[in-house]
Amino acid sequence: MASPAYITQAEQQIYREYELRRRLRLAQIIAPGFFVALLAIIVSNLVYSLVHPSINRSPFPGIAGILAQAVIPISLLFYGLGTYFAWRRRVNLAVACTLLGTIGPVVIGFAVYAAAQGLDVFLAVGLLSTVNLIILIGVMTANPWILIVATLGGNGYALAVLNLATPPPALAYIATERPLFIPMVLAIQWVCTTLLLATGRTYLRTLRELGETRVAYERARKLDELKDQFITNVNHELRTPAMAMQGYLELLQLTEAELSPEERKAFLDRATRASNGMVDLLTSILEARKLDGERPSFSVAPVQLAPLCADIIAILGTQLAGHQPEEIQLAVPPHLAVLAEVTPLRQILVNLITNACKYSPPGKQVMVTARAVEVPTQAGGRKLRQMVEIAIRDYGLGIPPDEAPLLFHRFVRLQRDLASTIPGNGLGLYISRRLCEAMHGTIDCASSGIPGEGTTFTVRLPIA
Amino acid sequence: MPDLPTNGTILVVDDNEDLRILVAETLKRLGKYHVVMADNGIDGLQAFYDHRPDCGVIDIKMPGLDGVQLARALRGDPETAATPLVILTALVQDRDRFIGLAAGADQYLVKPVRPLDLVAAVRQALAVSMVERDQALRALIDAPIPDEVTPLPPNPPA
Repeated sequence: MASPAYITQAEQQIYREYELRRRLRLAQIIAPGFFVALLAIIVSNLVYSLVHPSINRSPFPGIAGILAQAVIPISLLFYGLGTYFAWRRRVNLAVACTLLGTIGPVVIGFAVYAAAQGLDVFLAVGLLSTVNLIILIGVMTANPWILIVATLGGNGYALAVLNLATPPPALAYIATERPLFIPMVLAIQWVCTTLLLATGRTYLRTLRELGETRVAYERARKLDELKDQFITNVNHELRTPAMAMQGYLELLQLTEAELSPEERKAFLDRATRASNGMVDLLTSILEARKLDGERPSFSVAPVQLAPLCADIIAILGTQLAGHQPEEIQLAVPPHLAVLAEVTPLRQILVNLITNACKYSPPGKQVMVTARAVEVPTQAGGRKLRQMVEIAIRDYGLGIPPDEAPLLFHRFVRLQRDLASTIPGNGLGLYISRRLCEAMHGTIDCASSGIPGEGTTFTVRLPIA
Repeated sequence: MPDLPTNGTILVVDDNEDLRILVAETLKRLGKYHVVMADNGIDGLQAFYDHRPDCGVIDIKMPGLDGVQLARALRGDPETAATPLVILTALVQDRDRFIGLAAGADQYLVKPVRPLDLVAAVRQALAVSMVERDQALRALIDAPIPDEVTPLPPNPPA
């Protein structure tokens, strides 16, 4: 039931990190693997040339000879760089270096060889095997298109080699059997690619599922943490009124004889206020619990906003956390009405208005405005529908923008508020959100996070 | 009730009005103490100097200075270091209790506390006489610091 707006940035972050780590792991295996393999080739060549000192090590004269000699160390250098970047967790650089280290010898080798003495099948086929390495590196990028492009490149190269290369006399028959030979080479390359694609896909899917499990786990862990925090918080919110209620009643019993009627009434008033607070808290907890389940169904009817808002402010009166009722500015056009049920709508508005008062200093204004707006029926959609937008704006500390979407989850309070003495249980906005959704509306909040600029909570409900 | 004989002056510091009044009324009526009040930590600290109470009953979660900071501030000044302190809080965890007592509170009470228990706790805190506290404190400050570390005796042969 989590709509996209409430998917937190943290979860997307997990996906991204997971993807990065996966590619990094591949790079950390492939780059040093290639490095070691090439090193092994160099060492074996050296040993061979020591055993057979008569071997002609550079068959080409001039620059071509130097290039042909330089290809291997340059390639080794790139693999070394790739290994270094993989170790420093720079995935893209690592992939690029490994790719360059592989493409380099193919291109330069091909050019030098063809320029110096034309192509012969023996070396061309040797180079062909390095083309297949490029296909392998395609796996590292996790992009099937790169794999397919690499295979097409390999096909092209194979075609060029097989058509242009002059076979040595002993293999002269190849020239006549080329039409048989070419499809086989191409088919083998595509078989390799298909296998890689298939394993890559299943591999990716497994990783994706693992990632999802991690996200689900992370979500559950976070919720658990929030629940713990909530229990600690409720503990605090409950103990104070419990002591007040019990204390005033017991004190009344113990000292009844010496109290004047006014004092007795004052004690009872305070005990009542404390018990009301406790009942409110209890109701919120039970209501949040109920709203966790299925969406409640309300019987909606047109509700006039202006009288409702005025009524709420009049009733709240002294419960505005030090704000005077005059500080609440109402700008609701007369006759503007929404399709809603009165009780939950009243609950949402009471919650948002008391929040605005609670979280902004006394003396600062709180603005309640409403207007008709047209909003797309779906995010990014073209179809519009008429809604009423009710905005409640305060001029308090504001909300850090990255924490804002979290507030509509149950138990969530800002760290700042948890550490403060402002009472709250982290359920109000969750309840408001669920009630809004049940009446086919939305709720969100906007804040720059800059103290003094405050926060705007916006409720949208269908127009009547 | 400054005109009546009292058992001493208690300062109550709590930001919750209902609770502050409850504690004040309880101590006044059941304990016959004279009570002064403050609704935040900073005013509370000032009140300790203004009224020189015999005992303080302080909440922890308060704006300005919290109760633990207030206790530390009081313990840090020789003038107020000997004043008995009772912490009255909703913070229930062992860690909070430890921090509160380590800050120098004599009693750590977790809400809800019944009126008679509260009076008993205050009485107990006051029972540690001022002279004793003062002497204990002085003894701690004046205790000679050993010049050198005494070496351990050698291990007995196995």
